[in-house]
Amino acid sequence: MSKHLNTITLLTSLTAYGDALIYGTQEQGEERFLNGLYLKQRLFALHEASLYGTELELQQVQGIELILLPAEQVIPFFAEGKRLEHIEWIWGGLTKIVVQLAPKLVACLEERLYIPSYRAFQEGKLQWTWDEAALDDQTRSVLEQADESFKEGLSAAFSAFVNHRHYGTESTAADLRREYPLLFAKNHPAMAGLDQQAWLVAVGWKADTAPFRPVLQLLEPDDSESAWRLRLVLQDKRDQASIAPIRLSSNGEAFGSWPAGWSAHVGSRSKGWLDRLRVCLPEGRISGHHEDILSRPLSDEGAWHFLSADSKQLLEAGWQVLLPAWWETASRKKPRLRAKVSSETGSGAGSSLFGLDSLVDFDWRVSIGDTDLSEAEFDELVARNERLVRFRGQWTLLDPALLAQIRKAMGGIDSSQGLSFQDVLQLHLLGGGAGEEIAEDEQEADQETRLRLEVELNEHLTQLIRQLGQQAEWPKLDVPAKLQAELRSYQRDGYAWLAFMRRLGLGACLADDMGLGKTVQLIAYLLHLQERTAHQVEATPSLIICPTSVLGNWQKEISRFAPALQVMLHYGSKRLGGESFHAALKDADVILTSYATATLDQELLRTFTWATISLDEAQNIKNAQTKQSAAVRSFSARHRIALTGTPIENRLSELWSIYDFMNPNYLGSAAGFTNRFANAIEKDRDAARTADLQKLVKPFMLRRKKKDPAIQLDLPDKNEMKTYIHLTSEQSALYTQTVNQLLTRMQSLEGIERKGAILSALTQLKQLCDHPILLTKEAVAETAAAAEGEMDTETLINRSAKLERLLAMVKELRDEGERCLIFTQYVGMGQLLQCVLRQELQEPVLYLNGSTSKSARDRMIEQFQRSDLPPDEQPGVFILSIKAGGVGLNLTAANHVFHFDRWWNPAVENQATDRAYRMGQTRDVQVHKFISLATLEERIDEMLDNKQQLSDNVITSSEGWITELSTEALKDLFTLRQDWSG
Amino acid sequence: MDRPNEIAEQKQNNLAALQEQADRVNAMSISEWHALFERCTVFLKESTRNSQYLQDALTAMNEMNVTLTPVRRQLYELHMYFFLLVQLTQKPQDAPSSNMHFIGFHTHSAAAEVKRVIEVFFEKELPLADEPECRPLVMETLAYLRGKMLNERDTERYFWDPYDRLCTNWLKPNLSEESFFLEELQLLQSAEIELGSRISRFPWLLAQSRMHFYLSRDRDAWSCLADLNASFPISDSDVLYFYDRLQNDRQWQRLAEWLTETALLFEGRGYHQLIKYARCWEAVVLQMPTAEARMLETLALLLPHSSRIYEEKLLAYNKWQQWMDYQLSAGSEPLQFRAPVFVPFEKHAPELLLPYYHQAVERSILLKNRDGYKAAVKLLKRLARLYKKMKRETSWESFITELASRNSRLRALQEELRKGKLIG
Repeated sequence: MSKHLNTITLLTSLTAYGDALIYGTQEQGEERFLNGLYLKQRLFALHEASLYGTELELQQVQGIELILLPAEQVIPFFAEGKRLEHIEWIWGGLTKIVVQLAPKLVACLEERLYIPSYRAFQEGKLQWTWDEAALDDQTRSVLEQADESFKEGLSAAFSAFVNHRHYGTESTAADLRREYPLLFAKNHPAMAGLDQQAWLVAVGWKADTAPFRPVLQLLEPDDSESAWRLRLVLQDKRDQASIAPIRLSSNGEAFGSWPAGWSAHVGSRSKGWLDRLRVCLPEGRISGHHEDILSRPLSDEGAWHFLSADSKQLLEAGWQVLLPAWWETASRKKPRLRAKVSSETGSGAGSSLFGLDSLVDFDWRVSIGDTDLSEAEFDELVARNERLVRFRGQWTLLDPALLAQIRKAMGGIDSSQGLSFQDVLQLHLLGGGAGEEIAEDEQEADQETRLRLEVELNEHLTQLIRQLGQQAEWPKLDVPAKLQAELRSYQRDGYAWLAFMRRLGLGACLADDMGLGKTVQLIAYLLHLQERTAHQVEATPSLIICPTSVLGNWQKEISRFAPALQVMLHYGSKRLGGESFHAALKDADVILTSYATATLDQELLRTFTWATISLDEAQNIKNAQTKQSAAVRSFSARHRIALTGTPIENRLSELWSIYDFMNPNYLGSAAGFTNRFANAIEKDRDAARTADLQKLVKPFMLRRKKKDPAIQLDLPDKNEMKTYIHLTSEQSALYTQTVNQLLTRMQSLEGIERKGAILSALTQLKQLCDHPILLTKEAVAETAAAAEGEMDTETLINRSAKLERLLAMVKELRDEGERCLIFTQYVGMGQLLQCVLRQELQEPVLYLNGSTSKSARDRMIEQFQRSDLPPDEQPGVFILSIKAGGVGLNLTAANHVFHFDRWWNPAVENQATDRAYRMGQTRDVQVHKFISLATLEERIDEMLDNKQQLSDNVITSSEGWITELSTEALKDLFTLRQDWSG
Repeated sequence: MDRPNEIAEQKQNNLAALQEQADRVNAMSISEWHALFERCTVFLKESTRNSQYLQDALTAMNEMNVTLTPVRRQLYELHMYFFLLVQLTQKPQDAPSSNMHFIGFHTHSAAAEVKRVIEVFFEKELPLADEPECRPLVMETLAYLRGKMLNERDTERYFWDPYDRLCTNWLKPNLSEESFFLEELQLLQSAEIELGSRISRFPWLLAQSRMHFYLSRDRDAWSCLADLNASFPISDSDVLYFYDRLQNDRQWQRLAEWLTETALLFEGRGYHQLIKYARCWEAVVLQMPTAEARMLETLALLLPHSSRIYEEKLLAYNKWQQWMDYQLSAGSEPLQFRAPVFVPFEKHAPELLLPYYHQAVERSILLKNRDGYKAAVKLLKRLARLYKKMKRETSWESFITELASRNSRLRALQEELRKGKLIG
């Protein structure tokens, strides 16, 4: 009668590896062996480590199923004693011993009363065994009952258990290696000739019982002794300051005076010290007198060797070494090389250009620790060719490799020539990190001894560089008197900055957002330049290079804001060349040309040193390999300015190209730049490199965004800008042809026919200004056909300057994530725009016109106003016909409005503009009105502005009034002004 | 030969003589009653012992007109039946002197009938207080029954019951003094000297245990019962008697001791007997919750026959760990239980389910057939839930990954695992 469902007798044997093989029998009439699975699931039912036995393997031996319990689990399992209560367990055979011993062994492990096995160590293995001394008598007597093979298995199981429990993870195993490296030292000299106890002490597992420890001391030369010496001392463990010097004879006897109690310990150990010193110290160090083997003095060289090499080896072998106190700090001190900029440099710069290439006088300074050495002092030290040098009363370490590097660095920069301002600036901006640049062979340079080249600025340069970085410190500059515009405060800052950069000879990049008025800032700067150089005879003009599509705009804006500037347009087939170009330059303040023309006329333009070269839409030179980019960068100038509205700092190749234009070589070669920054930043997202690059780039770029609070105060809510655009030659030809035809017909037509002809010509001319395709009709079909597949947008774009300009501006604003409305009167133009923009932007483009159904229209509006669509579905451009979209829509998601063609009635345009500029609009609205230069569009615009001939009610009504004009007036209104027929 | 006439005549004569005796019946002793019954039925001596005999004998005995006081009559009639019982069960004089005695079916059923009637007699009260002069008669009856009972063969058990009922139903209520039970105990014990090895040990021991019990000498009662149990199949009702008495007297502490000490008597008994035993425990625990552990211990001692009750009790008293220990020891299958059984485990001790499920999974997979894999997946899903509940998802992940890779060659298992969304 018992609660047990079964009575199981357990039999266990241990393998040499410590694994347990377990099987069981049960008494049922006769004794029979239990099924392995049955036994396993019951015996290990509560054993979590083996996942309740399910992870244990069974082995068949002679028809009996054995459970294999891995070595590391054997001891904890038998110690744990968590077993099923409804089964009676009987420990048969050796199992009983295991069950008795296991808890004791676990206690050994928990209390860390285990030791590495010396026997295993000698065999080159790491094994653990229990500390016999830690076991109680009972346990020991139980152990003694067991036979040898069982003991071996148990000890293997114990070792596995210790390993698993204490050194089972990578980090704990690493800890062991770090704390007791000697456990892993195979054939280590310090391990030779030891017994188990001594070995345990030697590896550091057990503390030495002696009250002192032997220590090797290095004595530096002093008044009594002129050489370095080594001596053996005994250090009291309780009082480290108390040491007793001893002498060791060549037969291992120690002489000296020490506390009486130590003698026995000294006597038993001194022979071992000698043996181990012999092994640890290089040959020759132990010799000298046979009564004092360390008596031989050391040279400086020898001392250095002991300090840097021997002492390390002794420490590794478990010796304590006493070194002079200064050694540690001295060995950490690395020489630093500094260029000290002479105090006069730069102060006299005044109005003259300074420039990145200009040289800065400096002196070399080498500092080691707190000591500063001049070049001469340094040379003298090096000449002594010693590693350990006493200098100004201090022992100083000189590493020849490092010294060589310093020499090399100093040799690389001739101090009589000086450093360039660019070097100084870069060194300063990057702080210590610039050392890399000097030590180009980065891989070779040892990490620890890498040279740090620093720069020490004089007061003037410090001030100057601070100014560069601080907008508030830029010198204020009066706005040129002749400027016919009111500059906003940030524009005045920008203009002053350009002038300031010019004074320093530093190229500048004005990267304000579109619509902030980069043009007017540059015009102010040019005007300022003109004022300053007015008295100079040999003054050269400035060169502005811009995309063809904005040439007209520039011309228009300059004449508007700075009529005092003489502009010469260098463009088109009739442009001047050779001598006549030279002659014309004399009267011009500004030469305006396109990128394409500048490339064509590279040879001509290269012959001058321009007062300034300004690149508008500077991203046009982003591909450094292109002819265009190379040509532009080949021009020389006293100052280089880049204007761009695109955030170039995120496009590294573009950034490099623009900077290389502005400040040649500032960012190194293109390949070097790619290695150093582009790869690290774009591929590895290296934050440090990004920060470095930003530090280098920042002083040369002025970028203001519309969102900046300071800028917003300055901006009107609605900012209307006229964008002037010239006609392409195809457009000009067609335009002239159309006007001529009309004028011819005027002579014969009367009345209603005349009116009709005028109105039809008016439409034709306006369409022509948009795109010649609208007139030639040839393309409507082509466009429709091509709408599905890829179309040759390039050709289409090239045929209309308006389209080209629009595309550039839309791309720019889409890059900023902004949205726009485009109004056009012509369905054909709307379709064309939709096709072109869709393909160029790779995003949906909406087009709303009179034939759009109500539901489609609502859907478009909803889509355009949303902000939660994935980027490739979110439309950012909305083309509207002015009649269909002019009223009633709410499209506040857009903050740019383009009027691709002009409407005679400003009120209609304003109404259209108000689609975006209305309640709900949170940002400022930019309105761009496209005007074709020299055409009737410009003329009408002038009229609208001047309101000379037209009263409001006339122009508001319709286009009818034009039909009433006389033929002469018509001719004046329509005829293409000749300066643009390129 | 006119034998029937002869018999009738004989009967007539006899009756007259009998009646004469019957008139003195009030003054007769028990043995005289029996002699009277004997004479009265002498003509049936040769009759086959069956229900007809019973009828005839009763008729014959009742034909005597006896006038008796109520108590005396009660006893007199009872003894008629005792007489009949003896007649029915006695070994015929001429039977071979063997220990084996066979009673025919009809005889046996007649005897059973008599026993039933006797039982009914004892249901009635004996108003002895009304007629204290009858006490010697009662004591004589007791002696008579004791004698009969102790002289029965081991295979016979006709007189224990009447003896027991006499003591319990009539004597105990009437004779409250302990001295009586003490005296009876001594009489029982002295009977052994008298009868020696012939004594019928079963009723002898059982009767002693009763006396000890009445005298509150529980330890002696238990030892009698243990002796009894060692040699005879003891009936559960013989033991339950004690429990019922104690339960009636609300002696919970004592009942608990009895249940503990006499648990052994229920070893190897079937569910229906054990459940009675267990109910007694329940009653005790209801009154004394501290006895819970003892109840479970004793039920455990009655394993494996008590397994069903034991398991039920473990669950009922929230002994999750022990229940699981039992299931693991028995190697039961989790899927044989209805899922609600495990709900409290999941709530209170989810970790207990881990070995149960893990081992069952191992067994199911070892079956190496589709049904086994399906069962394994079912259990694995439960395991997944458990691990999640215990916030040990990483252990689970490594386990299931390891399991899937170790059994990568069991394609059907892989299929089931995927179906169960346990692996990707």
